[in-house]
Amino acid sequence: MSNKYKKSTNRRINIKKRIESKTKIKDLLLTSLLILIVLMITGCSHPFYVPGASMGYFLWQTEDGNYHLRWSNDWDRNAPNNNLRKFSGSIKTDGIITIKNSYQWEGEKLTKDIENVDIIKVEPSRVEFIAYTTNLDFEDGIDFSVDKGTYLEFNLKNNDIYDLGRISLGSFANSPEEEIFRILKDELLYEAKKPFYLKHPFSTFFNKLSYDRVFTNIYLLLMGIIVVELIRVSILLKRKNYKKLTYISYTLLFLFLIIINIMLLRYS
Amino acid sequence: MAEKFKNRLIKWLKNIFKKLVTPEIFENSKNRISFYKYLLIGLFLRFLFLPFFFQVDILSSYERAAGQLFKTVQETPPVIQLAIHSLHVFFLKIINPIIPGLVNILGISEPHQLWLTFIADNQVFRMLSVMKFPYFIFDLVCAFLLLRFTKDAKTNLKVFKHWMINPIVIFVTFIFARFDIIPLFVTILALYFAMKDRKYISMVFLVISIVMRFFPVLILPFLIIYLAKNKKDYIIFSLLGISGLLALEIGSRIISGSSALFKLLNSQHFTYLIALKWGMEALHVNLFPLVILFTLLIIAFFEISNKSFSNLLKYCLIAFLLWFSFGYFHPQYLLWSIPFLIFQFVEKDKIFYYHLIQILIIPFILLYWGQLVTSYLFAPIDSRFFVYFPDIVDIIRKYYSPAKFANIFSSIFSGISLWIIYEVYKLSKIKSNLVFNTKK
Repeated sequence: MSNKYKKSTNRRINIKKRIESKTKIKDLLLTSLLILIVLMITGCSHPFYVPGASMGYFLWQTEDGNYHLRWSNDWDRNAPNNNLRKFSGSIKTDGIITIKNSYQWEGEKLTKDIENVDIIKVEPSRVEFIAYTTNLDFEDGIDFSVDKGTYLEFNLKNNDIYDLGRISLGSFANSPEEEIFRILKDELLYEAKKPFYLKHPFSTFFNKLSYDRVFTNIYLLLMGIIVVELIRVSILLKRKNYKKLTYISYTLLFLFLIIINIMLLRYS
Repeated sequence: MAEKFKNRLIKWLKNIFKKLVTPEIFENSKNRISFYKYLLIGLFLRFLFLPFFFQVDILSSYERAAGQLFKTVQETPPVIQLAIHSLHVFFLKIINPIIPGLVNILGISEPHQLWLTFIADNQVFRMLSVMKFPYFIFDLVCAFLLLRFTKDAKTNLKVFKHWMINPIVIFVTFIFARFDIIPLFVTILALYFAMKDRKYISMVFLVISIVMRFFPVLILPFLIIYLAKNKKDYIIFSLLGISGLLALEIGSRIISGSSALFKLLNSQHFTYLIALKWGMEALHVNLFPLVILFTLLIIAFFEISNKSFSNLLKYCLIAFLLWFSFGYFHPQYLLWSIPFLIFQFVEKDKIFYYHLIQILIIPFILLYWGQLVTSYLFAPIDSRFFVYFPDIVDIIRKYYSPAKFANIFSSIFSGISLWIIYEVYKLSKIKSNLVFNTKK
């Protein structure tokens, strides 16, 4: 009798432990999902790039009003001259530019050791620079602020040519349309604060979906029917008011499609 | 009148479904619901990826097809690719009226420009859905064919489930978008007829699949040994097996004036199989471990007394797993082992869990091919974002050698493959609990 009691108690404890561990896993997954959603909504404050893996210019503005410009080279073993790449350009404004920091700059003081020296020329309303990166030195940049300026005009070249796709303004892949481009005061701050669905890659994804609405509607209808049918077979089938719930599910699906269409209309 | 028509229609539809899903599943409500659930989950997973991801090779297949269909390219493709090429020409003929814009894009002759234009197009999701749709049909047909292999409805359902939710099937066919599912279907058809003891049809289908994609050649010796009952059978089936390759050679000589077989032997496909070699000190002699082990496997199957259909599947699986353990392979080739593997999952759960670990390792092995099989797969979603997205290989390089990194995971993958071989070999020694639909 006591053995039986022990066995059943042990079994109950085991079940309890299993339920507890399952709940823990669920909690962990939910928390990670929440963190991911929050991160996606708030977004990063600067364009995503990995020095030495990303190639191009990355420009952002911080809350203190300072601008940060970085250029990075990706790694290429077979490229000539140890993957030497020239980043050159100018920044113009109607205010006064103050250089706050030269980031990983191989300046003129080091000319004895370095063949390709990074050069920067600073005037009150204009900055010109020529900098080089290689497989060993893959990132440089400048931090600066602008006083009394309303705009900033950039002319950024990559190996002496314009490569607009490789310039990210405020967020990754938010590239300028023109070779010499202007950004207004605090424009980059607004870009960084945009919700995730207005940033790349979501913005282009939703744009494509809104462009091809016939496809989007057929696709969502198909996926919706599959989901509703799965819910019907797995959950609703066991319920007493099964038919009613099925009708409600399908009505909800059609409502969802209408809402999506309204959203896509507004998006396009 | 209307009532009568309705009843007839329902009866007709029921009959079709019954034939489609087999009577054992259709007539049992529990089985029917399980089947429906697996089908829905499988469809959901497929449609989730179908319009949004692809690897550039599918574009090349359709570009070549467009070249022939609209006479923009005069060049005939190599005879080895002729069967698959002709199928893509046929698919494009059907697709063309649905998306007229596709032809203009496929007309771009420079491959990189073609890819960039395609991924940036606003109708890329629609185009991808339609281009991959034939693969989807073949995938479904494979699933329904696999549903018919054993006599037990519950086992068939398990096999169906494992096919519908298998990440490799979904990855290769709907994310990677490779056409391997077509020759694989023909191979499964060959196995089905072998199971039904329809020897000649089985051999013909296997030969067709070899002509389509060469790799089923790995299972040719096992099928011959399984089907042959006497010396005469061995000679006939061997000749039949070789006939496909001979037809390929003759066709190639007539059409392009060059040898298809030697092209095949010198091609990457064959090199993949013998990439690993054991060199001998101060000699030019090399031994190929895969060839040695493969020979051993053929002899082992020849020597065993129990040449059941279950063992045929096991030995075919071992052949593929040996390739993945000792040879070089592209990710899409893993699909070839799946139809054989899923029957082992049903026999022994443990094998399924080892396979799951392998699936978790695959993303690391993909690093061998860099952006082409990682970030570029997502390019249709946002071409600018994913084309300029940093290469994961370069990110790893900052901390560790990416080649070593991928090699370590590749070796773990091989280790698990070898363990699965051991488990499957052990299973082949005992009586299988699967009752196949054989005529024997």
